[in-house]
Amino acid sequence: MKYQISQTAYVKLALHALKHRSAAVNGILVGRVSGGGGGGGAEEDSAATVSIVDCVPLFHGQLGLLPMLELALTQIEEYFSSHQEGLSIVGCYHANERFDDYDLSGIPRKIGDHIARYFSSACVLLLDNRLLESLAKAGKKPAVQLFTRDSSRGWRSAPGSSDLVLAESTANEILYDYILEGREQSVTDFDDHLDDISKDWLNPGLFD
Amino acid sequence: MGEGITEVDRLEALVDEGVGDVARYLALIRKLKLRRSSKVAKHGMELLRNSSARAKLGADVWTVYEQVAIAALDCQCLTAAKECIGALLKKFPDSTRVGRLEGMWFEARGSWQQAEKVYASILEEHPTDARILKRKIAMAKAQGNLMGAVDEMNKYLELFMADHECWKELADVYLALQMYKQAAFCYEELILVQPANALFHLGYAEILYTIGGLENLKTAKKYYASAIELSGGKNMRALYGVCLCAAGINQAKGRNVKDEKENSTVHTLAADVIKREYRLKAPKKASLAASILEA
Repeated sequence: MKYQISQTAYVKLALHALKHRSAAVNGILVGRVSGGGGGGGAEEDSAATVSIVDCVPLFHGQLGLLPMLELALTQIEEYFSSHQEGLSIVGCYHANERFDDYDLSGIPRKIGDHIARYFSSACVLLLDNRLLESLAKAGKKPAVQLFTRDSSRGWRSAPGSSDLVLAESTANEILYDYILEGREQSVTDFDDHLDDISKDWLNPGLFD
Repeated sequence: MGEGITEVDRLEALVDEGVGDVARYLALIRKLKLRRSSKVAKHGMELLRNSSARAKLGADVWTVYEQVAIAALDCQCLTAAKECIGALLKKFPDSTRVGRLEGMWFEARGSWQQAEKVYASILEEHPTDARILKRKIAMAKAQGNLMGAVDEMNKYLELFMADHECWKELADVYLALQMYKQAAFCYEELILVQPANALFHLGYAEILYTIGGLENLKTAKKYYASAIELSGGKNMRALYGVCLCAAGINQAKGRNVKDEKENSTVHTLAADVIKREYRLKAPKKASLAASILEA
């Protein structure tokens, strides 16, 4: 199974993490499966691709609590299935609190497990701070580590990250420009929405 | 708190343009305990390097040096921080408060052992210095040693058991470790210390819901309800929370007729408030919210 991430989803999740530099953040990945053989075996088909089309930033700071997570998942699933053709929840992303922490902790694993119950090829993306710091040289490599479930239902990092590609090769350049502008201040996550419901977790104006 | 933030944002915009009162901005940041380190470091250093602006601060200049030093450390501007700490050392050569800053300077560089030495020597003379004990907690956390941070916090709380900030920090670390029962205990202490604080009732409810089970859902619902009351009916998380609990209770195994009767109508009232708020403030999401609540 191959994974591809759109510029929209990638830039949004990175900006979300950059807005809250001293906290852990997470969010939900939304997309679809394409290619591969037909029928129910598509998830196992190595020619198939999971396209991560968009993401919804969820929380910053406190990530381990269930009620608002359940609420968010329900609203996200409901919105995308009724408003956007064939898009559903395909995974989640996570950025650790500390700069040098490259571990995938229990909380993103649990969220990933929950999503995997509905979508067996679910993935978890962990932000890679080293790569984010050197974006100017990153070129076509996304600053995230891809985790997928292996046969024993554990989360493993894909070797060499060659299994996750940026759909648009300009994504890192665009992200770099946005960082220079301070665009991360405009990201709204589900926490912000709960604090003030007039703020939209769909982030409609973010890339204008 | 909301109005305070608006005022700070307003001052910040002026200061960014070069026309604001930096001293007032910094004072308000201190009062509200906000963490806006890059702005504080940038504007603070400019002010402190300007001798007439510095003179106008009067006695406050030392507090500003401390505030800007910490902000500079937060941004990894170690030279700027050193400048501020140097000025403070000259004025207060034997101060433990300045000693803390020296330790923090080492922490910012990741020189943990040297920071430890600074703190150990202060603690020799002042074994219960709260500020230094908190640095030990912070260092454990910064090095990713969460269980170590938990130990240090428990030791600290034996000395300072009414320190609600520490109880809250301990709860947060327990939650990061997914040790929910221990986090719940911390929130029980928080509610004892500040029984009218809606956020503590809310936090407790969220943890109980996360642990799950019928009894916990029933208790969570009560605390979500008290959070609604204490927040004047405005807290969206608490409003949603009673609805989530009611739904959970209805589906829970082991519930009986008595439970269903007691599952009072507070959630229908809450649902109405939520729907009304969405129609007013987030009309595009109103039908989404309504359909979730019907389910």
